[in-house]
Amino acid sequence: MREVHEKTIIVDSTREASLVSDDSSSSLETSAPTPRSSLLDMKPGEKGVIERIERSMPEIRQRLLEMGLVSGTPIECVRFAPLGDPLQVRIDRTNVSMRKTEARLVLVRRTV
Amino acid sequence: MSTLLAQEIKTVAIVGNPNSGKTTVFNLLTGMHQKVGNYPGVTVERKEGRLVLPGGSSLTITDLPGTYSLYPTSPDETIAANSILGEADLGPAPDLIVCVIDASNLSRNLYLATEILDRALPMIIVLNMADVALRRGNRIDAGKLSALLGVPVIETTATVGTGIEELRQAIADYAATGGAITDWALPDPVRRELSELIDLLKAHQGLSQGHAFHSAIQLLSTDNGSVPFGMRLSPLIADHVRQDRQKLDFLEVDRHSVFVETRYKWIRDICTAVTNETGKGHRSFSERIDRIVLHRFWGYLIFLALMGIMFQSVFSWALIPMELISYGFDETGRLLTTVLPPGDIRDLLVDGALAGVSAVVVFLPQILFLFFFLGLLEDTGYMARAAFLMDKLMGSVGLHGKSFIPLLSSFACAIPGIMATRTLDNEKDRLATMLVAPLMGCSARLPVYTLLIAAFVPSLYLFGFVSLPALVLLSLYLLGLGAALLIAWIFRKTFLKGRSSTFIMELPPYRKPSLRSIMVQMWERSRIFLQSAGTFILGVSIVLWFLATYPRIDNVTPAQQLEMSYAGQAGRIIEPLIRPLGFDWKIGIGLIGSLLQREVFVSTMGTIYNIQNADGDAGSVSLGTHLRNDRDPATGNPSFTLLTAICLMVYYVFAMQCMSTVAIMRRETNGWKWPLVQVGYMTVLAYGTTFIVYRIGMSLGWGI
Repeated sequence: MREVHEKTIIVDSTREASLVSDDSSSSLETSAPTPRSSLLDMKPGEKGVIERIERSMPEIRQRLLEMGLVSGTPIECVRFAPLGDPLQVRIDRTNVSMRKTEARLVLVRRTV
Repeated sequence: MSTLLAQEIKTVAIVGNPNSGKTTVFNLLTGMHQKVGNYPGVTVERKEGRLVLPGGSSLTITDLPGTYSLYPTSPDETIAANSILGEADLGPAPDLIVCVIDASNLSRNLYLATEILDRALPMIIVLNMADVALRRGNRIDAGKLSALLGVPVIETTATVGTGIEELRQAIADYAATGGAITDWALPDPVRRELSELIDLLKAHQGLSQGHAFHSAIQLLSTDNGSVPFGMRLSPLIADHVRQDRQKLDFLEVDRHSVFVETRYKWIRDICTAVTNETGKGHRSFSERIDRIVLHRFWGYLIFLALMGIMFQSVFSWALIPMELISYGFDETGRLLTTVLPPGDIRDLLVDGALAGVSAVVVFLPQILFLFFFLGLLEDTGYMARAAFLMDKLMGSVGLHGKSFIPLLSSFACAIPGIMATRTLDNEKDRLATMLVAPLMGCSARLPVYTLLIAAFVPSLYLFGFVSLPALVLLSLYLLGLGAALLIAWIFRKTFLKGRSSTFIMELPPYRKPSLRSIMVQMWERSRIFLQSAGTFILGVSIVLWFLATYPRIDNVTPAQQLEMSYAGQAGRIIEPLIRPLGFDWKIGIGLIGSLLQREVFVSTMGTIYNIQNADGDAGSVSLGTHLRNDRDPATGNPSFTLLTAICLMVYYVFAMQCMSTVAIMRRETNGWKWPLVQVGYMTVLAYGTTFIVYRIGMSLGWGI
């Protein structure tokens, strides 16, 4: 028998929920006290773990998920292109590149 | 599932992630027995080939576009998914699927493989590049993987060719064994709803277990309106789905991601089970190269150097074989002239047909060189890095990083440039790039520029060392480049408006390219070119010859013959149209001739002015003199001035004259719409700009 993992049920602040009350954000804070930031805030060499992908751009989100950027996956920021955009990250030993507009959706919890 | 006997397999499809090496596998399995076409209605390519099995029988094998998932997010992926599932009028589902997996990226590649398993489709997994994974310190147990997934797993190293024969044998021997059940841990509420929906779909829509499983996931993980292709849901099911979605939303289950996440969890467990960390992995070779190749300074330097080499080869080195081909055709023409009896048939063959064929075949070296380099860059993995470096720049005009190389190649010739846009997966990016490619430049424009600049631009030196003629030449190219970027930007903002493709892509590990695979590709591209352009240009050439030769009049000079032919008459007829640009009917004839090849302008002008070999150096100088001395019979003023020359050159920068390009556009876009759009906008652009230049010039008093 398999157990249900907490991580697979994601309490997500859908647009409706966030309209309902601001409390949702504060309740998220108490359950995850570590600072949440997006992939864009990471510097080359820094490592983290993916929290979730924001839902504002569904097609991009699906693509990111399918490339393996699911919650709990370790991610490392490798470099930004010389002109500043796009950026390269390492997931699971794979190098993936994406533009800043896409990286913004990836919320991570920094570990290193 | 019934056992599939080997004889029942008639069609095979190769699928896999982009960069998994599946195309190399396809090329090696089919050799020269492949052809590239288009899927109806879209610009996505369809590659089919014949797979010969040990034993002699053969099957049809298709190389589907690379995809990450059967739930597609791009036109390419949609084609791949629909082809695999046998939907959307793409023909029946293949009898067997060969899923190529990159061993260095096991988890992501298995994502697609497990989706295919969901669907209970007959599959063989090809574990490619296992040697690379081993060097990284991961040994993958193919046998264990096979046992866990319930499908045959064949190890290959496609770039070297090992494993291909075993794969061929495995296809020949394939017998379905039933596959494994997707053994993942969905959260309870999701598992319940999924199960229920699957049963409903089987009972009420008549779907098989696999089909129902796949469709149920799609229905639950998307929102209203997203129906698996072609499925008409009964109201009962549609209602149920709506309720399910609401239920799961209420329970705060993230429907959109739960399936992906659960699948990955399962896959990662599999990966852990089959991978043996040997602990001997060294800091990746690829990473070390990337540190230089993507360096802010060295990276660009290397990039420019590589682009320079590629450009040089297409622009200059290709000239040698091109001259040889030209020479070859000339000699053949001469031979035919002596062998055949004089008369219309001989002229038709030599001046019409042969000239046309030569005009097409002469492109071949450029195409071969370009595709050789493209193949090399793509196979080694460098192409992704090039796109990475160029994306910001290209993005500023609404294009994609991958647009850079096709545009660069177009400086030499738009035809291989347009063909090279196949690397762009987003249709809008690809179209925008193709549409502006001819503006970048063209080696056939050079003879025209050379002639006119030599004849009319004074040989001055600015600041002591910058030659005016060279400056004029450079500005012509910059004009084209600037226009290309501007037009691309405009297109992307207007009728090619659309979400830019994502730039989410893998930077694959560097690998040794497979020369054989590249050769196969070069061959295929050339074949496509010869076929599409060849037939079209042959027709154009014969028509032009006819127009320039008839009606036949005896005892006149070639110049007079030309003037009185249909072409000459056509020149006079269009004269009023081109007068506002400062052109006369003689130029008109030249423009008509340019439809075959831009440089035909030079030889046509030569005929008009009675110069033999106008494109040779001596002939060119002499022609130049004649142009300068030409007088308008009515007014006595020079009919060809500096202004005329400038207007003509500007016209050549923008005008779509090359029929070969039109033929290739038609082939690559699978229709006449876009080539006509291209001819249309370029003609308007050429006419408009030349008109403005002429008017400005006249008002500045340059015309006299």
